[in-house]
Order: sequence, then structure tokens, then C-alpha cells
Amino acid sequence: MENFYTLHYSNCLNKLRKDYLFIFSALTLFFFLALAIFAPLISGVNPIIAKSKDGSLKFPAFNSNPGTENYKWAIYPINPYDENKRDIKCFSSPPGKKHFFGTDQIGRDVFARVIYGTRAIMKVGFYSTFFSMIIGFFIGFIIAWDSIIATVFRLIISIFNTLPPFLLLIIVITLNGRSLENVIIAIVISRWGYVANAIGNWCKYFISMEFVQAAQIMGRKSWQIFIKHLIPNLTEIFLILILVTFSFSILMEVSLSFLGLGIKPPTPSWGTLIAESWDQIISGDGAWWMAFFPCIMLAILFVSLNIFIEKLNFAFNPEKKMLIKK
Amino acid sequence: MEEIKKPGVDLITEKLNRLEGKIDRIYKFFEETDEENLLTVKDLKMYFPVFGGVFSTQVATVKAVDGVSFKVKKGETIGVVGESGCGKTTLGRAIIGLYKPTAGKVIFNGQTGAVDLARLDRGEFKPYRKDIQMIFQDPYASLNPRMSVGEIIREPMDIHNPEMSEREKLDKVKWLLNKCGLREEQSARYPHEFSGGQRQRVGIARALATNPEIIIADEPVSALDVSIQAQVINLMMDLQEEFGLTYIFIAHDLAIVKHISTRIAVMYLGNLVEIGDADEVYNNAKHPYSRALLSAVPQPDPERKDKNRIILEGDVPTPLNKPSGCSFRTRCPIAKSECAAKIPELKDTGNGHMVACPFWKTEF
Repeated sequence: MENFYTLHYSNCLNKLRKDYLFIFSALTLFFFLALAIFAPLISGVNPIIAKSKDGSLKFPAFNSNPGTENYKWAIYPINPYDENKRDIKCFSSPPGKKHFFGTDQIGRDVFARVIYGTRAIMKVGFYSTFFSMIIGFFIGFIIAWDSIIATVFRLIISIFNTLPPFLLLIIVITLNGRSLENVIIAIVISRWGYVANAIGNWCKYFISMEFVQAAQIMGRKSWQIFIKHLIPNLTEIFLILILVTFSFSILMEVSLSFLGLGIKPPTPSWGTLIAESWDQIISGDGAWWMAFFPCIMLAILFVSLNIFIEKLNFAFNPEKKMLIKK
Repeated sequence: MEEIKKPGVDLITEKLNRLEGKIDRIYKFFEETDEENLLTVKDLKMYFPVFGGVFSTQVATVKAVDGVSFKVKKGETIGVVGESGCGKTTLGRAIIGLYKPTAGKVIFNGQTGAVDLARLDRGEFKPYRKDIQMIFQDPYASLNPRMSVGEIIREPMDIHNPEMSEREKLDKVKWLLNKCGLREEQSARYPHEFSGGQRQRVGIARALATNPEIIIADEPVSALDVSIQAQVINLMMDLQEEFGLTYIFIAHDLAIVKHISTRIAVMYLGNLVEIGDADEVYNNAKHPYSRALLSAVPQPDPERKDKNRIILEGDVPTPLNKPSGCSFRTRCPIAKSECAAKIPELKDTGNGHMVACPFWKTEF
């Protein structure tokens, strides 16, 4: 077992373990992820766990079509509203005991809508980052070596990069219709070229460095050089690209939903929430809570994402040392 | 049109091929008998195509190394000098196999017998990698910033000595660090924590890790301070004495080359113009280019007047479009019309001092 490849990463993990800010931001991101996955457990009309009359345990919150049934006993979520349930007794009510984040003008619970909106954000963020990085990574490695294919790809990338991303998004969504998939496709189309260019150029830079030639002289094979010399050096660049792509796709999703081009209503998204409150804010009704809570969530997500990647970056770079007393 | 098949043709071709193989083997045998030279470079050519235009077609050829021949004996240091762009670095890299030479032979006569390195592909070259190592010019780029010094030094051992245990590898890393003037506990540090001179010592330790026979030093001290240069050069000389290493020392600093080398080779525009014993070339240069080059060495004597300084006119011609015949004739003070006709060959002028100029006796 050759340990000189793992040593670098174990050093990095040691650095991360001591970093409280990293742990905090990681927990925050984990919290957002959990919020998206376990939204029905926090807010919903169906019970989390219930005992039906024939004596079996049921989990109706995870069932997409639970139906109406009388249970012997049941534990309900903390907030008894899902994203579309309307409380006809209070329209546009401010945050209070009954509705934590208030309600909108047709009586829907903002807390539930914010939590269910996390799902859209996370889906768009993860899928578009994943596909942009995969495509960008492979094409980046193709263009790192000079060849005719590389020239062709560089040309295609420059064409894609000159297109304004927002315009491209709007065109794709107008042609294909409003849906989450189309938002993801549009983001990947506008983003893969950026990733490929960055990976390709950095790879080219590291290949030209003398330590790669030294490895060739030692008798390392190309794939060994790739794994042992290029990947550790590319890790930071990869992390930065993930951050940029993730932030970009979240921002794009919110902006598109705000413009009314994102996910189809009534599925909630933070951008839709902000857009719905917009009319009320400018007409002076003062329904600030509808825009305030999604914005706060967005800000927390962005800050923790930035800290997370920044700290990872810090850990993977041995030139940066911790200023912590032992 | 249908091709008429002649049954004899295949047979003849096959026999010819076999004959060719035999001739090759006989030729190789004669080369192998040349026991005393560790490395023989024969008519080595390294051309680089230049691509341009819309369709990336080849528009020109850079003749970086154009027919260089020399022999290296075991235990000697051959210093290669010349101005920048004359092909010194390319020569080193073509010998070590970083570039595949366009033509010529690089015959390495190691413990396992003679072999032409220029003809080997990457897989076949691997067993010989441990015998030929390189020290790089830039100590900041030649060490991977994501690997600790210990990992950098043990990497060659991981490749060539897989039978060594972890303990043995660790001990050898420590031993090498001590030999190169670094401390054992520094093996856990990363390259950025070292100064330029220390990094170059790490580079030397890495080159020594596989017990090589030849080390090609590609301007190993040109990126360092003058005081550090002396330390590194003296370290290299000490190591040579201890391990019986053979150096091919590429540099543009003539004083350093004279200090370390037993023989000096002078290059100009991809050709070797002069080669001989260090003192002989340094004090009694014969080729007009070497004379001009050596007259430019600063002398630490304020009283001495530079009467003998030869100043060359014009610029070095581009290797894209070399002058016909002797490549130095455009700047040569003693150029004659015959110089344009053919490339002069290296000729022995006594004591193994070879000069590539038929008119070297002419005064100027």
C-alpha cells in the first residue's frame, strides 16, 4: 500500500477536524439537505407515524397518496400545514403562534412553503452542479492536450461562453416549457463550458510544470501521474468550481422563479415566494414576512456554502497553515 | 484493375526483412564492444514541427538539436555550454527520453549491457529510467507542492524498488536527506517551507534515490543565489566523488562549468562546435565562437584591460531558418565562402580536443 497519496489527504482531514467554522458550516449545509429530504416530517397534513385500526404501524407522511383514514393514534408534524393547504381563516397574517412565518394572501403557510421550497433549490443545485462538473471535467481533460478535437471543443466552448447565461436560460425555458428539468438543463448548458475551460487550462498549466516531467523521468505511467500528481493539485480548483456552479445554479433558480420562468406553481420555490410578496410590498400592504424568510434562508445557505468550500480549500492547500495554538 | 500476385515477392521481402534484422544485430554488437563509454550520443537530431494557419498544418521545423555526437566516460562530468536557445536543454531532454529524438542514437552502456535509448518506447525505457536521472532548473516548479519532501524522495523507490519495505524506504530517505545536507525531521515538511537552495537539495536527493549512473543536470544552479550556487555545486561534486556519478552538466555560466567539469562541450544553434578537456577548452579555445564566448567571461582583476575581448556582431540566427553550411558563418570573423557549402565536422586537433572549424588556426 502506497501511503504517500493518502498522507496528503489524512493531513487535510486532521486540519478540517480542528476547524470549528468548517464543522459549523458543514452542519448548516447538512441541515438544509435534511430540510429538503425530511420536509414532510416538519410540516405537513399527514401524520409522521400512525397506528391504524387493524393494528399496523403506518408512515403516511412518506406516502404520496395516503388517503383519509382514522387512526388509533398518530404523531403529527410540528406544523400541521403542507405547502398548498389554505387556512381560510387568516389571509396575509403576520408571523405568530399559529403560523410561524405568517401566511400569504390566499392563506397558505409561509413556513411550509419555505421548507418545501428548499427541495427545489437543492434539486437544481445538486443536479446542475453534478452534470456541469462531470461534462466539464471530461471535456476539460480533452482540451488539456493539443489536438484537433481540442481545437474544435475550444471553439464550441467559446461560442457557449459568449452567450449571455440568463438569455440562454430564458430561451431554453420558453422553448421547452416551465419545469425543474428544463431549469437544470439550461443551467448545465450555460455552465459546462466555463468548468471545462477552467479544468483544461489548469491541467495544461500543471502538465507543463517540471514536477510532471520529473515523474515521467522516474517512469510513472500517464494514469499514475494523473492520479498522484494532477488530482491533488486540481482538488482546490475543483472545489472552487463546485462552489461557483452551485451558487450560480441556486441564484439562477431563484431569479427564474422570481421572473415567473421557474418551476410551475403551485410547487413552491423561494424565488416564487419573493415574487408573490413583491406586489404586496410595493402596494404598501407590508407583508414583509413573505419575502424576508426566503431571503434569510438564501443568505444563510450562501454564507455557509462559502465558508464550507473556503475551509475545504484551506485544508487541501498545505501552504496555508492554521493559526491555532496546540 | 486487379493486382497480379507474384508468390515470390512476399518471400523475398520476408528474407530482406530478416537480413535487415541480422545487420542491425551485427551493428549493435559492434556498438556494444565500445565498453569504456557509459553514454554515446551519435548524430542526435531533435526537430520540432511548428504548426500554424487555419488548419494547423506544419509550416516550419525548429532544428533544436541538429546532429550532435559525443561520448561520456564513466565518472566524468561533461559541461555543455552555449547561449540561450542553442539547444542545450533539448539535448538533455532528448537523451533522457522526455522527447523522442527525430534521428540518431543514444547508446547507454550500463550494467545490463548496451542499449539504444532513442529507439525504445515508453514501456521498454522503464528499466533504464533508474540509471539516468535529472536535476531540474527551477527548484520551485520541480517539486509537487502537494507532496511532502519525504514522499517526493521516496517516489522513485516506490516505482523501481517495490521489494523494499516501508522501513527501508524511510531509512533511505533519511540517509539521502543527510547526504544532501538536510535534516531528517524535514522529511514531513512541504516544499514551500524550504528556500531555493534547500529545494534544489531535495531535487538532488530525489535524483539519487534510485542509485543512478548518469545525472543530467539541466542548469541546476541558474535559479539560485551566487552563495547558494557554490554550496549546491560543491554538494554535487562531493556526491560524485562518493557515488562515482557521471554528470552531464548543462549551464550557461562558464565559471561554474569550468569548476565542475572534466570536459566542456560548446554548442551553437543545435550543433556542437568544440569539445575537449575543461582546462584545454577554457584556456585554449580554438573555435572562433568558443573564443568569443570565453573572452566574455568577466575577470576579477580591475588592473587587467579587456584587450582580447572579441565582440561578435549581429544576432543568433533563428533555428527555424538556419544558415547553410556552418551555422556560425553569419557572425564569424574568419568566415570564408567555403563555409556555406557544407557543415564542418568535429575534427581532433590533438589530445582529444575536437573543433568543428577547418580554419581554426586563422588568427583574428
